[in-house]
Amino acid sequence: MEENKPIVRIRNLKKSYGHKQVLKGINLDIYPGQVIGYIGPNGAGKSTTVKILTGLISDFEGEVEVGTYDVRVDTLAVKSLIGYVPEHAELYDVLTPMEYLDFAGKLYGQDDMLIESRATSLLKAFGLFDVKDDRMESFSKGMRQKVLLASGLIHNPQIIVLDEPLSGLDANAVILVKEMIALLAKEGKTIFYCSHMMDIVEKVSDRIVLIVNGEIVANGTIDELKTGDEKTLEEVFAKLTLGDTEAAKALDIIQAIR
Amino acid sequence: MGKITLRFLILFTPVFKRMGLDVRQLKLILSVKLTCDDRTVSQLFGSTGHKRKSGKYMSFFAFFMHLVVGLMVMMVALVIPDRLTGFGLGIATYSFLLAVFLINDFSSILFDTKDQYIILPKPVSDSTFMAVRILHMAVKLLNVAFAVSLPLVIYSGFEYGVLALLALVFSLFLACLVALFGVSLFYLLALRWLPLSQIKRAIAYIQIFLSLLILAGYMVVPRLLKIDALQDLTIAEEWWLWVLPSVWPVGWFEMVVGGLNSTTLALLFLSILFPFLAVFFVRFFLAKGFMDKIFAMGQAEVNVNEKKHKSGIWGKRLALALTRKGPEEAAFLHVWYMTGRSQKLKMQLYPTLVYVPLYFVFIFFMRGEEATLAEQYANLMETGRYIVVFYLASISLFGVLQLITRSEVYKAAWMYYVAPIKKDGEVISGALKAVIIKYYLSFMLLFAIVSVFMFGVSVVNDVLLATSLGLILTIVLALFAIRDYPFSLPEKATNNRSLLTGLVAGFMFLLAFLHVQIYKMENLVWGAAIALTLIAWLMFVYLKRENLVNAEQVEE
Repeated sequence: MEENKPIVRIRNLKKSYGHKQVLKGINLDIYPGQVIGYIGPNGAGKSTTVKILTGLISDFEGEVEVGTYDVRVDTLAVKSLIGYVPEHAELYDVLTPMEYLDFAGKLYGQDDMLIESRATSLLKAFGLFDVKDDRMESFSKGMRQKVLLASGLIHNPQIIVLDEPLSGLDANAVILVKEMIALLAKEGKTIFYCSHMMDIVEKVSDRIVLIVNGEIVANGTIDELKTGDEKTLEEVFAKLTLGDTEAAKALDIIQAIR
Repeated sequence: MGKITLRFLILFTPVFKRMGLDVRQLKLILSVKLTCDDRTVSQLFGSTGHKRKSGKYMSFFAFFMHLVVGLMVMMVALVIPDRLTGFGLGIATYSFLLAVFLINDFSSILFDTKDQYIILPKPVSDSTFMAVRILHMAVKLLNVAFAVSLPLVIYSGFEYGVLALLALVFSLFLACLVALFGVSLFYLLALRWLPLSQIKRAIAYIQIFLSLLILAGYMVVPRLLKIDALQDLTIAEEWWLWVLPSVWPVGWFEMVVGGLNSTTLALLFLSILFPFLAVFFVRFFLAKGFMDKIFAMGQAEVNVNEKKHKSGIWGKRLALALTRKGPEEAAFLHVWYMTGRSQKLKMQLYPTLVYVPLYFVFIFFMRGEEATLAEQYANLMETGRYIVVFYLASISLFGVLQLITRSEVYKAAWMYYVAPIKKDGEVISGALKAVIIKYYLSFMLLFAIVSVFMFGVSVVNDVLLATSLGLILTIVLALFAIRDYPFSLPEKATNNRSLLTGLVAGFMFLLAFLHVQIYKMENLVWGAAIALTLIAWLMFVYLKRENLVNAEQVEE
């Protein structure tokens, strides 16, 4: 599956907000068709990496290339290659799903006919076809998340960046998205998957990248990461992010209400 | 204020206990709700839908606003020389205003969905919960009824004595019942004919309509009261006054002040009959389940079978005709749909816009107190002052421009930032075209038609000149002051661009003044109009090629 040339190439990426350095020299290559699980504790720098990768932040140090484009120079070309669904993304719920997808497709300069046929197919696939002309005001969180996912795919992007894509989805929808990710990877799409849900990251990712305090502390397949007696990604994560002290904190909470 | 009324209600504790209510919870929930009300001002009288203020003394502010409304009621009662008719109309106005208040502010209590998450999971019985809602409404109604009636009641006490004061209070109480009945009838009909989801929408539209009506009332009533026809109005001769149940209660006041006669007797009879008729009507028609249904409506947030959306055809057609494919078209449709559908936005937009047609009417019909209509008309023709109205429309458009960059869901604008938009001027151009067509050209077209009808074809070039100047200044504002994607700023965001908007508006008035000076030089006006229209078009082309949006917000 891997080709020689990476589709995403990050070299010595640094980013500071004021005096606080949130990314401290990230180096990462991602190859076409790979599913990358990008994980890390809150505040580790995941969202900042994603924002730089998707061309939202141009004020950084280092090199970031997507396809053959430099993110800082050819921002628009990079944006065209990427389908991005941010975490807690909001949408305009007075629009209908069809109108929203039409809006998204037009922003990517897609042809009207193509938008309509893709939107229809996507909504059918996500089980939202019957409500395609209803305003989204009455939609559940899961239904909205499906529309957002569809909006990230409407322009058939090469790279799909998903930030906590499963939030609000029920068990069946989670299966659907997991399956969708696998099929997209088979199609040659590259998936950059940010999440806190370790069990799912473990199942869908070819490679896992763990970032802590703005630095990559682990990068490899799940088997490569299990160096000691850890059985799951959760245990690897806890070990590398000092999360095992959290168990002690839980005990404190119980003590507090006794 | 609410807390005082609450203390009064607490006097009924034994009754509540006998009804099986948990009085401790009742007091607790009610006082929390009243504290929340204290910190939010009334939707209708407090503000015209602009930024909601909150603070410690909001209930005093609201009380003051209600007193002002009360003064209006007093003015209605006193300006008509015939006392019976004056007070009758005053009481009817009072009843109408209470009904407006009931529909407007009570809907938010009835459909308060926050309770589902805050109170329902707690161990509070259904009956206590329902009692809280009813009492909450009662407290608010009593507050408003008290404040609005105060000026007239005080006046009557001084003018006609204590007995008259008491009679008036009783009359006002009956008027309160009429308002309650009217509102019940409204909900009854709504519940009967509309599905649950539509009722909320219908109420929202009625709220918008009412806030416009109140706004128009503030402007129209003082002028209307000067009209001679009102001076001769008497209840005995006007049949239509007898049709209004809210006029009947005045009989009690008149009985004390003016004594009994056939008119007073008839009014008394009707006002006594009314509560019986109302109760019969309500019981017969409301039958059972009224409160249940209202309750269900509060819950019916999700799983609503919304009507399939077929609106927006016009938007699509116009977008196709007027915008380039891609971001410009997307932004046009986005703004078109949002302004047409978001209730909150409409509540903010319409008061900004309603001034335009109102001023149009005023400038034509309401200026010059002594002059006849024909004289005013001749005066307008001669001075060309009507041209000013064409410029007012563009000033209200400047207000709209500020509104469409802000939104409650401003974070949903992330789509604009992640999309590969070459020149964001295209997005701004699309958004501008949508508001210009919807809120500017439509008005100008209407004005043009009315003006051609009134002043002849020669006004066409004046309308065109004013429109082209309006368009140019709108684009200037877009270039320098509206440098944001549609709906991408938080509602409370402040910027230092209002000064520029103010300056441009001032400049617009100057242009209007200059236009009035030259309006008779037809060829000059034509030439300027055509040249400026061309310039406006060129500016649009230029705008589309620019990058205007500041991308700093992304980092947030």
